[in-house]
Amino acid sequence: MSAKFKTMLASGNTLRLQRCDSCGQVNYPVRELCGGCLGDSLTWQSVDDRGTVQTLTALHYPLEKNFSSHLPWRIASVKLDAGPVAFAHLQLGIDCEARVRVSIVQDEIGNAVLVATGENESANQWLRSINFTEITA
Amino acid sequence: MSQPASYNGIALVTPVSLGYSKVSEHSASWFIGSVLREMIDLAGIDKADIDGLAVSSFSLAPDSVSSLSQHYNMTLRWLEQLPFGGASGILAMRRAARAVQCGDADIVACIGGDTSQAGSHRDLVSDFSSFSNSASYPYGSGGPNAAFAMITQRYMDETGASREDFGRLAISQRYNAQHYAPALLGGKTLSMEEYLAAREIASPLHLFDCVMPCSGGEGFLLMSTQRAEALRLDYVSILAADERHNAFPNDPMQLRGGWPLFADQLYASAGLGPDDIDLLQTYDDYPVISMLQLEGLGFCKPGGAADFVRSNALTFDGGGLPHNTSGGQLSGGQAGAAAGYLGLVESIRQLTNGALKNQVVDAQHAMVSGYGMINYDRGLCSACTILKRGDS
Repeated sequence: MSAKFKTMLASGNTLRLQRCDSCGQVNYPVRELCGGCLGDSLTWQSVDDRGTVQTLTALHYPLEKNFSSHLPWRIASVKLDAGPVAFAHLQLGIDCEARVRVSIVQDEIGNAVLVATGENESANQWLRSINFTEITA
Repeated sequence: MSQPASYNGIALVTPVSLGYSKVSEHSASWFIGSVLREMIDLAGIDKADIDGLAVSSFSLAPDSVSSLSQHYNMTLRWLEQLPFGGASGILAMRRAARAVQCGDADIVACIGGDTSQAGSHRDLVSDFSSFSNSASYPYGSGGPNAAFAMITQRYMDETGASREDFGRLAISQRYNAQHYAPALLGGKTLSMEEYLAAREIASPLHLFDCVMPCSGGEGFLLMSTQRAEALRLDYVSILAADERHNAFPNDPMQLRGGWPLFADQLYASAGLGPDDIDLLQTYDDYPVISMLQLEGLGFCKPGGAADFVRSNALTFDGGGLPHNTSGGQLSGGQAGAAAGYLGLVESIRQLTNGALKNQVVDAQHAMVSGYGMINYDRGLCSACTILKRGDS
């Protein structure tokens, strides 16, 4: 049985996150009030999609089946230039301290999820290999 | 900033740990109530003498501490539920101590208890918090292993700590567990070769870096020292205690908990320094977190825990710094929120000469540290207390 994830990301082919209309802070994970000023007017806006891989792990025992055919499953903690820290599925061959671009794609079960890919590399082959699909606007 | 008032006049008594097993058909209320029954027996009091109840449990829902008053047929005038994972025990102790000091309760039972069944770990971590649900679990569904693997990797990159260094913690705790009968893994030895050869779970974490979820209960009674003396109970006093939540929120990775924000004041309140601590219980959900506690609580400099564990014996009888003297969670099992009481209960045993084969000789002072709630990318709760053997 596949999990019913609730990533709550805005789908689209550019990275959009919640920016506070009052103080300008970019918020992630998704929330209803700004983590900076507690303002309640957050707008999904395109933000700088670049970031740095600050650490990563390769998972051998995912708790959900949809990851288990592509093990080990690599994820990264990315410090986004826009401010927040985001966990993202990590492209094969990308390592710690690498500069990456973070984009939103569709995972195997249809969720909008973050992927971190090399700044100047095509991720198409990797995405296909794990049954993720790019979202076309 | 104001400082916590003295915990003078408060006694911790009747440490109980029970029911450790990998899975159980019993519910959380069985574990909590069984701990309660054992504590009442040890104290030689009536159930009706207990007028305060503080509990922590991940598996109690849909019941609450209020429900339990009816389960156990008790009339209470103070209750508290503390869903704070590995910080729960110290937080329960702090709040219960204030209740007794202020006259809101006379005897408070502080209990952590959880049951464990096949699949219950997955159920817990797949719906742990809203941030985790939307921004952590969908990324490989690793549960806490994923976040702590990433913290461990970054810690190794920054400090030069090696797998062997984490192994020193795990192996010394296994030795302690071999001298503590209830520890679930106490029947198996663990060598460095076995530690290093274990299967990888989430790089760089391997099997013996991860706790085994289990069921179990931990608890103690908290009352005035006068009451403890009247009951002729050996007791433990609180010299200092404090807590911080979401400390250093702008650190992009958690390489320190909240302890550096209050450790100096904690020692000052106790009139002690790290060298005066006879035994230390850290919250060991993963070895790297014990290292952050060694650093944040002044036993070594930030980044210096690997050197510390290389040069200090950590076993209960090694003559160094006895650490996680009952084997901790790594060798005893992680009984849900009871794990947040484990170090406190073990320290009360140690300071009342209630430990058996793992008794630390002549221990006067214990430090217990708590850490909990991996809401997204880091544990949010940090707590610590310094305890002293009572005078009776």
